Amino acid sequence: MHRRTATAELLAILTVIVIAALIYVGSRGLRDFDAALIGYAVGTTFAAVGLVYRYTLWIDRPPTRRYFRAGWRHFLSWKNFRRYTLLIPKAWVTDIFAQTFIFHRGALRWVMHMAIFWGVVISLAVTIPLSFGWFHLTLAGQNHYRIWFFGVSLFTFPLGTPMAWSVFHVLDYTAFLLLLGVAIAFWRRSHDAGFLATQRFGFDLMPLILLFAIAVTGLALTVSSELWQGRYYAFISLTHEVVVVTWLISLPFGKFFHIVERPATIGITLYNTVNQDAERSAGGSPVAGCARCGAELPSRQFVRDLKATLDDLGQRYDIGERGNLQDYCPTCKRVLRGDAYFQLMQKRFL
Amino acid sequence: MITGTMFIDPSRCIGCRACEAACRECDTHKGESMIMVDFIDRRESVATQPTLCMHCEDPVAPCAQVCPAQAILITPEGIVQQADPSRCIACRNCVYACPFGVPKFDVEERLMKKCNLCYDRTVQGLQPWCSQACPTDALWFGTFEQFKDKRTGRPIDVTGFGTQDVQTRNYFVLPERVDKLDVLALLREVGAPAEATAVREEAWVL
Repeated sequence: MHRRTATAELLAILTVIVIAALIYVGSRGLRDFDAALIGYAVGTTFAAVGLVYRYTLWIDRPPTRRYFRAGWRHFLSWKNFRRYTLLIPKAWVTDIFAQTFIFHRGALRWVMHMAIFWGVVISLAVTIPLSFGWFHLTLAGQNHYRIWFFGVSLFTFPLGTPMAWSVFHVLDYTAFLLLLGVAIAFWRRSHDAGFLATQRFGFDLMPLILLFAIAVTGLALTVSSELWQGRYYAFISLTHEVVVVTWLISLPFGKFFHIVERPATIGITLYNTVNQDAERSAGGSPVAGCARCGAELPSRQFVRDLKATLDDLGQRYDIGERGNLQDYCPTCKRVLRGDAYFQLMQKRFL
Repeated sequence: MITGTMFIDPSRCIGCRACEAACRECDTHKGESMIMVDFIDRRESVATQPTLCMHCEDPVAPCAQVCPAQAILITPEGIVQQADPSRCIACRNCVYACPFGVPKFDVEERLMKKCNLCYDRTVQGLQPWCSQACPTDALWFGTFEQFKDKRTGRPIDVTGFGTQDVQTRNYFVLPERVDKLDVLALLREVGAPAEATAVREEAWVL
């Protein structure tokens, strides 16, 4: 336990050092750093440290460690790269960017998740570089603005155009996306009897409440500056910052940790594909089969790894001359137990 | 707080699959049954047994322990819930680790699903759909004390899988003389496995 936490602490400290260095370099020695955004920068750094700490502990659990190592080993193999060049880009598109598996869980659910996902991702892509001083805007002449990134001029754009309006209000667009997603989520969670019974306030509802508060207070900043001549701006700005920093600090602990967990599903896809193909080509026969009925199991390597994981956890399902319980498909496990029970009852059922 | 638990007596199962039909009514997995009724030896007998999640206590939920994403959570009452949809990374460890053959895997949804002991009903003091529908009390829901008052047979919460004993929240109802359902010892009494002739039974009522 001590070694695990020591590694996690070390990586967390390294994260702070790397972020601080990148802030210093990216903001040209803090010249482009906006001191008004320091709360966001500190909150983001805290979130990054918490995520690294928890992620390190997470991947050290026996089942996670086994997949993490095998997944990266398969990914870093040149042979696999040549054979599965498109597998990982495709998995990123379907599993992460388009999230097609959520569509199979429900169309409305998919719309909700896409709205929240892209709302959060685009917002973070804008605000993190802004708060770290990596993004920087300056006047270029009388009528143009120039965008800088890491001290490098990216492009200029004229003021007073739809494009300029969009650049300055990109966070309003994402706020509307978030509101759409959060509204659907609240509607589902307040109408679905299954959710009503199983959802937890802290894990399932609090993240939605925070996102709602972030979107509303963010839009209120625009309303204040565009419609209210800047009235209440300082109060709204402070409220927005408090809500955003609260959300950032909650990232490592709550539901949003799944954002950094989800890409692991791509490692699982690679792990299963490589193992199945390797076993097919080696034996010329189907991959691992159930010891009783022959039904296909994920792969022989999968079964070996699962047994090793259970062994790490202090569990061993050795059933004598019949091998190991993990050599059987779920149906045959049930039937084996049924056979035993039938024998116990002297084959006398009702 | 859920105080009741499930008492499963396969010898009373008549294979009517009312439990499967009723299970589909559960709000936590609408339209899909998480209980399985299997023929034990279709060539010799019409005997069937129902299987639902046993909600393992010791070792605590092997499915949750082998989950790399910590997606399977356990309620304070010891109900092992199905995978949290936001966390499940579709590795299927739980499906093949479960000693009772319970979790199902939905390929398209990339999600593990299993019995939640009708959490939406049991938190309200109602019994799960399956025991509600079971006409022969092969599935019976209540407390240990209620069982002892009303039923015969010995409720046993330990199943032995060779080198591994598993203690569960749900009980099997066994004859009075038996201390645990020792699967390996009983299979040895059955004799050598019928290898090549083993047939995978498909559900005959959908």
